Amino acid sequence: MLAQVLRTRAHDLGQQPFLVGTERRLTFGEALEQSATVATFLKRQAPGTVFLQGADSAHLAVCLIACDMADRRSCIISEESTPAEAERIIDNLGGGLFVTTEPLAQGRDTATFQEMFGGPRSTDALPEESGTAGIAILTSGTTGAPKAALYTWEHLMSQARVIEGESDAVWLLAYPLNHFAGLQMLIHTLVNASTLVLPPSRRFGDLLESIVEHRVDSVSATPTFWRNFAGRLDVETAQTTSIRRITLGGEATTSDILEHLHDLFPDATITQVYATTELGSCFSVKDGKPGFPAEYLDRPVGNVDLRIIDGQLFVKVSKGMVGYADDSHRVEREGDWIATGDLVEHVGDRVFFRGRTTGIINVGGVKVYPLKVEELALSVPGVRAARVYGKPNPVAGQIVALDLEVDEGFAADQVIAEIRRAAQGGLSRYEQPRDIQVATLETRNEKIVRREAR
Amino acid sequence: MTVGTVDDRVIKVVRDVLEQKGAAEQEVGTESSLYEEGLGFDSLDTATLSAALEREFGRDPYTEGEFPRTVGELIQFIGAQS
Repeated sequence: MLAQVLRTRAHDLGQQPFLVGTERRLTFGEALEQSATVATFLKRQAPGTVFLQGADSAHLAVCLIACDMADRRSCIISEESTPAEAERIIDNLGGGLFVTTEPLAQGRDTATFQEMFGGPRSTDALPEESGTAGIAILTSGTTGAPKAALYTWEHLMSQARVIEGESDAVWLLAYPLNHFAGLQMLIHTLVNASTLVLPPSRRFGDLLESIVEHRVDSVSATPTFWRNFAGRLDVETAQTTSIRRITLGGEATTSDILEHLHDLFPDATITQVYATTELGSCFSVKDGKPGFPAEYLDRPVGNVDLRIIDGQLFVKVSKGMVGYADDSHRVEREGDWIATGDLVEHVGDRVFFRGRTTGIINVGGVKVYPLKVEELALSVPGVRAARVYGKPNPVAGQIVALDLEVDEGFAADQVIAEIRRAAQGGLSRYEQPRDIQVATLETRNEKIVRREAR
Repeated sequence: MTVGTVDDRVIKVVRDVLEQKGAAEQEVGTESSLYEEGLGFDSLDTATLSAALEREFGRDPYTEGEFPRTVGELIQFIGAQS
């Protein structure tokens, strides 16, 4: 379906810019040509999932479309994943072709992006109908085993709408393409024939330069992204940009960032989107206030119905995930209602987000499971007990905090240093504990709780 | 809390964060810019800095809606309330 839409766009608007970055600038026509070249390569490989790691966003976007053309499931592996993690991901999804920037050692089907893009395009026509293989979107695993949410492109694109005038929009890709939100940006711009600007990195200077140079008028990002980006902008610089549309999602939005964005971009519309990888896009709020109106509980809104059960937000959706690759990870349900894991509080005419039910930590929009971090800490010599939790943070929403008890005979500062070393080797940057304190821990109801700090 | 002037303590906090991100060799002075044009702090490093300042001084600029650009501005913030 992704490929079908690109064919239509390329036919109607072949010369219009689609993917714009510092290294590459592709029109719809050029994106179609490159997708066909890559699809030709893939059709000559053994069937199976195509795992992509290490390319720039423009190449990744083309590869996703090419996989659809070739009826191959795609899966983007984060550049932060270690080789061991990549191996686990590939094995968990039944193996397949691993595409990277550098040739790999023997033992697995591999290819490089250079081979895929440099190959000939077959003179045989590729199927006009898109495949059904879809994409696997990776989410954080509870104890280190990565989860993969499986989607067909039909499902992912079912919420995309052609909006009048949207073809003139210029969006910034602020999320990576291995995130649900990043894929939604790609789909939205493709369906609406808009332009998607791909910054070379997420560093402030690169982002601002991309926004100004390519006259970006629309940006969708997490509140953490916006706090960091807006925190370094002054009103004068903000007025040099063309930003007229701001979207926030991925984590709870607080009033401080909404107010700050209003101050910097007084003429911009500001929308908060509630969506999850497991459930898809749910609803949006455009009134500039945190949380959502309580009247959303009384009627269908966006793609969902909402209700609160025991302080947790539940949703009932029509289009969502096909399933998990691993059956042991099931979404909690109450009949047709799906648990979001978000704690909410109904106050007057408003519903506010208050945290998570399961202790899952949300670091800048990325979910972190405490158990995984605890296991790593407990593997370090000298750690007698450990408790991992999310600590509120004004920059990232939450950070991973670790309280630990140190065995006798071990120096606390050395144990902490060793934990940091182990974390750098075994955890993603989001998962690494950023506040470590020695404390006295006790067990209550079979759970470790912190008694006092030392 | 550690003993020393506010300047020394703030710089030590910044150095600790640099060490955690594997950049202990970086020079740190009051003129040092915190972000990519200087010490290279991204959002996660800044979150760490915020937590470390709060632990050392009981407060940090980010919680109070400020976004200091240099080590000197951090010192100024902490010193103003000490």
